[in-house]
Order: sequence, then structure tokens, then C-alpha cells
Amino acid sequence: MRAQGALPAFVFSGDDAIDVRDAPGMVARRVKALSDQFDETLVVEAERKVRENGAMAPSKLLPKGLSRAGQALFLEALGRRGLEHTGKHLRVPVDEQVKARLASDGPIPLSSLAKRLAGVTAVEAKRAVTRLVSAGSAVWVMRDGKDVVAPPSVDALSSADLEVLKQAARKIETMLKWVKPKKGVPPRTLLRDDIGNAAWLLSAKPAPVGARTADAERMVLDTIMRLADARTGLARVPDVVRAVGGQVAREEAIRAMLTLDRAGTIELRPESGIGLLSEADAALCPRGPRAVPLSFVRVVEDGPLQARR
Amino acid sequence: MVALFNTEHSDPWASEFVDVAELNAHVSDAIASHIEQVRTQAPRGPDGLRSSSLLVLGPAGSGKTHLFARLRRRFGARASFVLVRPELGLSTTPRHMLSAILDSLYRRCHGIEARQVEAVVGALLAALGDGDLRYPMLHLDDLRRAGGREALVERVMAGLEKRYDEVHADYLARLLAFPFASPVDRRGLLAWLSGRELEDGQRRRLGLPGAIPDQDVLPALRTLSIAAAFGAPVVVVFDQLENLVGEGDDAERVRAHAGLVSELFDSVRGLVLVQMALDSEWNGRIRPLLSESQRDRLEARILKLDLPRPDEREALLGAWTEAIPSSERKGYFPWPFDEPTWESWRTASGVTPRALMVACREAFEGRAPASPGPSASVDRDALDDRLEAQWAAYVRNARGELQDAVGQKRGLDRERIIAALLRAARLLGGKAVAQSARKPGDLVLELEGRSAVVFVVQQPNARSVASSLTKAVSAAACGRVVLLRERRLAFPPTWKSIAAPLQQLEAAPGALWLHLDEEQVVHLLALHDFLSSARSRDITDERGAPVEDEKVQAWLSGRAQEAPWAVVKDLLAVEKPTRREAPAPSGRATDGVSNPQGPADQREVADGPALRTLRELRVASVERVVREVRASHAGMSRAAVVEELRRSRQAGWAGTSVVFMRGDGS
Repeated sequence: MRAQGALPAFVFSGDDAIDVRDAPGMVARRVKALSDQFDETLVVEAERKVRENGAMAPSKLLPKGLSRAGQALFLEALGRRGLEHTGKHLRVPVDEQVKARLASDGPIPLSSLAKRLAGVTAVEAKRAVTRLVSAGSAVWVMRDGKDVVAPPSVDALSSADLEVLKQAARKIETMLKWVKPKKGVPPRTLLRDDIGNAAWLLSAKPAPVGARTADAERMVLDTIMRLADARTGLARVPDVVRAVGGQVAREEAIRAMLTLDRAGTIELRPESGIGLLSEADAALCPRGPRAVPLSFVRVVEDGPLQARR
Repeated sequence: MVALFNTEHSDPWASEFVDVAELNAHVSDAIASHIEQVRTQAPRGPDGLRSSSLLVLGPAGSGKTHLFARLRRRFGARASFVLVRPELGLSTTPRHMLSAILDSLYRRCHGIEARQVEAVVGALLAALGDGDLRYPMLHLDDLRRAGGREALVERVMAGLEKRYDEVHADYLARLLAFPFASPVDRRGLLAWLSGRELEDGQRRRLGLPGAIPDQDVLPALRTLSIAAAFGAPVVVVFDQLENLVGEGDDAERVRAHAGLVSELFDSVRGLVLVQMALDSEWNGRIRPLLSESQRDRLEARILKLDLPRPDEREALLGAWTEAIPSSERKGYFPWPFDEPTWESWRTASGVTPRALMVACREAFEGRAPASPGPSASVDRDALDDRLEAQWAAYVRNARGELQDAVGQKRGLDRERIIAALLRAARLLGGKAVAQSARKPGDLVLELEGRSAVVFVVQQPNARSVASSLTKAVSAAACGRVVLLRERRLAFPPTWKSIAAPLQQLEAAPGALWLHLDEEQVVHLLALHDFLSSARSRDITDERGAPVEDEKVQAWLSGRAQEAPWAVVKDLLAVEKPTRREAPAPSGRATDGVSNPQGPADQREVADGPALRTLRELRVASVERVVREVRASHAGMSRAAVVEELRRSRQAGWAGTSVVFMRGDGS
């Protein structure tokens, strides 16, 4: 049985709640009922504030007078507008923040990246960089032995360049061995031109090896978006591979999809149907764990692609 | 072996499980917001209170069932969760929905002793009475102890009827009476509230004319939903929807399901309808069969389950290993993987939580390689053992379901038995069709050139049984008729009204009465659920890969010879005994092929290797028998040996480890 004097905090009267706490002689005070409706302009304003500051606590954004459900809906509306809700913060997605910061500040040491972002931990920042680098939206370079993240526009060496650099280094190392001091032999040296010839590949910038791959990825991505079902957002992988068949070879298309999946741009999903995937279609699918055909694909809503938009 | 890594198939009603809340939080949050919305809108009246429909799509092993368990834990007594899985070969009706909802509401809320139905009533009384909505069970306890409950119930009923015109007063009154009723009355009330028939005694005791009539089933659903909306909204989760297809009558069953969901969506307020299906099956088989209006309702909001991203995979592995006692942990993250293997799993494409858990198990067991590459072909014996182990789990669950029904002193639902018989008959290569309402009987079986109309006579009162028997008498004039009833549901001697039709059946040459033993019922239910899971890709080999439907069926067919579920063959094969003891109303019917003591018993196990070995040994440990049998029958698993011994009446058991031969063993 409830203890004497322990009264309910509220009683309901029509649509209003009446507060009867600490009410001497049970004189009820009418308080305004909380609402779960809100104006869309408040959402727009809240979004503007978050984008301005990078991240904000939800309590500073929620309009007054909203019920718990209303608050949840309000935060959900902000989420639909592309903001991330982490529990502590509502923030501009990390990838978006990193890209904006790179565009404005140029190369940034990885160790200090998180400090330049709002509402982002160092671990999250590092993961974002990994994603962006995989997607080609940033480059990870080493300077003075330290990790530095830079915008894709910097003149960084490609993997092909690095290979050339390695060859040149080996060549120069060999040349330096030739001129090692020898007993009974006067000091020897090298011709400046010969050194130049060894390193000439570096100055002649080779065509980017990944250019074709990047084209294939773009084409595959466009096709996925075109073929995705409007309601479920899913596209069939065999359909995508066939649709790009004229311009991208099957293996190249599959490789492009796997790359995009690893970058978090798309999500490849395993086949779950019974007898729905023919052998011919299965041959057009990348393979997942235990060689399961990955037969469906969707563009990740909060992936790098959407963040760019 | 750490048990955790063997839980790759979620138990929707589990009370303890490992959860990474961030994984697919968008789906659970979306459902949660709909539940909260119902709670908010309910006191405001009919204008704001609507039902909502969400469709959750994901590949096998992506966490659909886990989502159900997660939401149960999140809401506790603040929402009522109902799990509905389609019966193979049968369409879901509103009455079936009502019984499914009440069956789930009779389950306990997550984390507390109270049942969901009590939380529904407690919350309603608190919301419309003077209680605190946050503590519905406390309020209920207060009311149980205090007087003046009737006045409050009247006030609440008046308040609810004032707000909602569609409330069915009788149903509401009995729903509100449920938590305060005596245990005996509770059983009767539960049966009535769930739309089932009542025993005569219950009917008289509660002053009810009979089961809820058909025209009142939807009003009952509406009332229940509105009543629950105030504090514990009903969340109906339709799981394994892929079982709607694949039985030959796909279009009809899919449309019937879509029609029912649309009807609930349109005419019942305050329900949160969640449908969960495999994305491939929904897109490829179900969706094309829906009309535009049905699509609008069933796909009102589509939520896709995401596969775990690399950071979420890390969180999953962290949470799983965290749940393992430190004494069993043999390393730090990423144990049980080594670094390169973990990296390959962390970054691989198309990894589901289930696939990751199976990989964990393999790494834990030290089976190399545990990387996500193509698996070596699974050894046939290993697959058999794996299927055997999963089958044993389904038999256990079915036994639990039967025990629940025994606890409530009622028979299993006819629909469950009919669906299982349909599936068993089709598995044996026969033709089986559920009978339409206008025709006599529940299903028509055709097997090996013979056919029969089957009546499943599970009714709990004389009037309904007599009605079925009369129809069976008429049908027996046209062909073979088989009547089935659970053996434990003996007819009381007081049921005089069934004596005459029983005698007529006795005289009819084409009519046969069979009793279903507990083992047969349990194995039939297990068979149905096992095949449903196979269709939902939930039967997996030891590498976690789904076992193809055909392989599962072939494995079951291979065991049909001695399986208790193969009783379906007897429905057509067994001839009527020349002299048979009347099954009723003696209360101890002993005829029928399934009766262990009966003269026509043909279900005794044939002399298998296990029994032959035991006959030689006379007394032995189970392990010894298994060893001896496997020396000569290498392919026979331990479970098969134990199963054979258990099913034989010649084998006696001393505890669970020692077995002996009864009598002289001849």
C-alpha cells in the first residue's frame, strides 16, 4: 500500500496535467502539458547552429516545452538532416569535419587533428582519416617521421611514384657503393648527370595508376544509385555489373565494389534468398565470408558519399 | 567451450544476452519512437492514436531476432512485445492473431516477475485511475490489497469508453479482471481473452456463453490495443515472413497476411506493427505479390539492418569477450583471434554479426584457418552431428511449448498441429492441403495412393467436440476419415453428448481414431519449426553457413523411418482394428496406433543397432553403448543412439547415464 502522504506527482484532467506535489490542502496547480509537436524552422535553426559550431550538446538545441517523445522526434529530424547524434553531442559528421578542416588548414598532423574538430575523439578522427584515405578524399603522408593527413589536392607521391623512388634510391645506393674508398685507389666521384638520370623518373610525373580504377568506381557508384529500389534502397549486384558491362570489365566492377565497400561508401550484403540467385548471377557477385555471394548493395546513408553532398 | 559463442541464433525471449547498442541503433530507435508516440497519444483520444507499420529488412544473421530481445530489455514493462511467426501452409487469421498476442502477453516482462498482460492492466488502471504510470505493478499490488477495486475498474472502463467508441465493454471488463482473478479463473479468462474455446467448467464458472464469436474478434483486438496503449503499447513483431512463401500457395498466403496487416493498420488503434524478413525474399518473392495499397501499408516505413562496420565489429568482439569470465580468457583484444586474422575479419565485406560470432567460435576452438576466406567443404558426418544438435534444441523448445500448454491445462492449438501435419506429409512426398472453412475436416492428406480427411479434435468442451464428430460422421460416408487428439486430453465421462457420434464413428468403416502421444506431438511441432528456420536460413553448419533447405529436408527424410513425427504415414496406412475400444468418454482411450499400451501399437522402435547392442550388454553406461554402436556403425551419432534408446520401451533408464534392458529383452 502506498505510504500515507505519498501522492502522485500529476493527475490528468482532460489534456492537461495537474501538479499536486507539495500542495497544501491539495490545491492543484495547473501546468501546461508538454507537446511533441515542433516547428520545422526550429530544426533548421538548430542545424544551422550545429554546423556553425561543429558540435553542440542536445540540451542546448532542444526547444522548450517538448515532451520526451517530441525531443526524440526533434533529434531524429536533425539526424535526417545529416547530423550525427553521439549521445553527448549533435555534430557535423566526422568525415565532413575532417574534409572541411583539411580544405581550410591544409596538411594537419594526425596527433592534433581531433583537437581541431568539434565533439570528436582522437580514435574517431583516426578512423575517419582511414575511411577518407580509402575513399580518396584525403592522403596520409609522413613528414619528419610523423603521421600527417593532407587534402587530396596536395602534390603527394602515388604508390607508383613511391615505387619509382625506391628504384631510384636503390640505383643511387649502388652508385654510392661504386665510389667507396678503396685502398691504393685515389678518391672517386660521380657525374652529376648520372645522378640526374637515376632520379629523372621522379621529376617526370607518371600518369596516376588509379585513374582507371577511380573511373570504374564512379561508374559503379552511379549505376548503384540509378538501379537502387526507391523504397528499400537496395540494388542487385548482378544487375549493376551487367549495367556497367559495356564500359567496365566484370572483374574491374567487382573490384570497384569491394573498394567502395571497404571505404564505407556502399554496403555489400550477403544473399539470403532460397533459390533466388541463379548460377549466372552468382558468378557476377563478389564473395563474402565463406564465399557467400554478396548479391545486394546499398549506398551507405551516412557514408563518405552522402557526407560530401 | 564458451557457451556464449554458441548463441549465434538469438532467443527472442532471452533475459540475458550481449548487446552492442550502437549497432543498428537507428532501427531500434525508430521502433522505440513509435512506441513512445503511442504512449503519448493514447490519453488524447482517437484523433491522435494510430497504428504504425515498420518493415525491417536484413540478410540472415544480421540481428532481426536480436532486435526483438533488445527492445524487450529496453522497454521492460513499458511495452508489450508479441512475436508472431507464420505457420507453414496456413494463413493467419484475426483469431490466430488474438491468441498469438495473448500468448505473448502471458509471458513475463523483461527483468521482472510480472507478466506483460498484468503490466497492460496495471498501466491502464494507473493512467486512468489515480496511480503513478511509472509503477504499474506497484499500483496493481496496491489494488490487490486495498478494497474499492470495483469502483476504480468501473471508472476506468467509463473513462476509456468515453474516449474511444470502439471499446468492447465485455472484453475490457474481463481483461481488467484478469490480474485479480484466482489461478483457476485466470486460466479460463486467458483462454477466453485469447479467442480460444473454454472448457465447460470454466465457461460455467465465468458465466460465459462460449468463445468470442467471429464478429467480435476484431473489436477484441481493438480494445486490447487501446487498453495497452496507455502504458504498455502492443508491439506485434512478425518474424520469419519468408515462411509465407514456398508452399505452393504463395500468393494466397502472402495476400492473406498483407490483408490482415492492412486491416490491423487501418482499423486497430495503437499497435506498432513490425515486420521482419530477409531482404532477398521480401524483394524477390513477397513484394511482387502485394497490391499497391498493401505495399503502402506494409512498407510505410522501411528500415534496413546494417552490417557491422569495422569499428562496430571491434565493439562486438569486445562485448563478447567481456562477457566471458576472466578465468576463461586467454589473451587480450583481439583474442581469440590473432592480429592478422582479426584484421581480415574486421575489414572483410559482407560480414554479419552471426558470421563474426561463428568465426569467434572457430578461433576460440583453435580451428585454423579462421579467416573469412572460402570454407573447406563441411564434412558430411560433421554436418549430420550439427543438424542433430540443432534438431535436439528444437525438440527441447517444442517440449517447452507443450509444457506451457500442460501448465495452462489446455490442448495445443489446432492450427499448430495442422500446420505441422501439413509439413510432415509434404516432407514424406505426399500431398497435403488445409481444408477451407466450408468443407468438413481440417486437412486432406494424400500419400502413396491413399487419401483421407483429417479432423484435429483438440476442442476443450463437449459441444465443440460433438460438432466436429458429427461432421466427421458425415464425411466418413464419403471416404476415409481420421480423427486426431492429444492423448493427454482425455474426454471426461460427463461428456454424454459425444457418446452418440462416437458410436457412429465406431461403426463407420472409413473412420479411424488416433491419439497423438506426447513424443509425436513434440516432434511434429519441432519438425514444423525446424523447417521454418531452415527457410529463414537459420539452420547453419559448423562454419555458420546456412544449410540449404533441400539438405535439411533430405536429412529429415532420411530419419523418417523411425521418427515420431512420421505418425502422419499411419493416418493413411493403418487399417481400422476389427475390434476397438471406444476412445471416449471413458477418459482413457487406449486404441490407436500411437498408444504404447494399445493393441494396435505399431510405433515401437524397430530393433536398431543401439537396442541390439544393449540386448547383448544388458546393463551399460550410455557412453559404452555409444562406443559399441559406433564401432560397427561409424556414421551413427551419439544423439541418434540416445534417441533410439529413449524411444524404446524395452530400454530402461537409471538416471541419465545408465541404461538397461527390461525383462528378457525379447
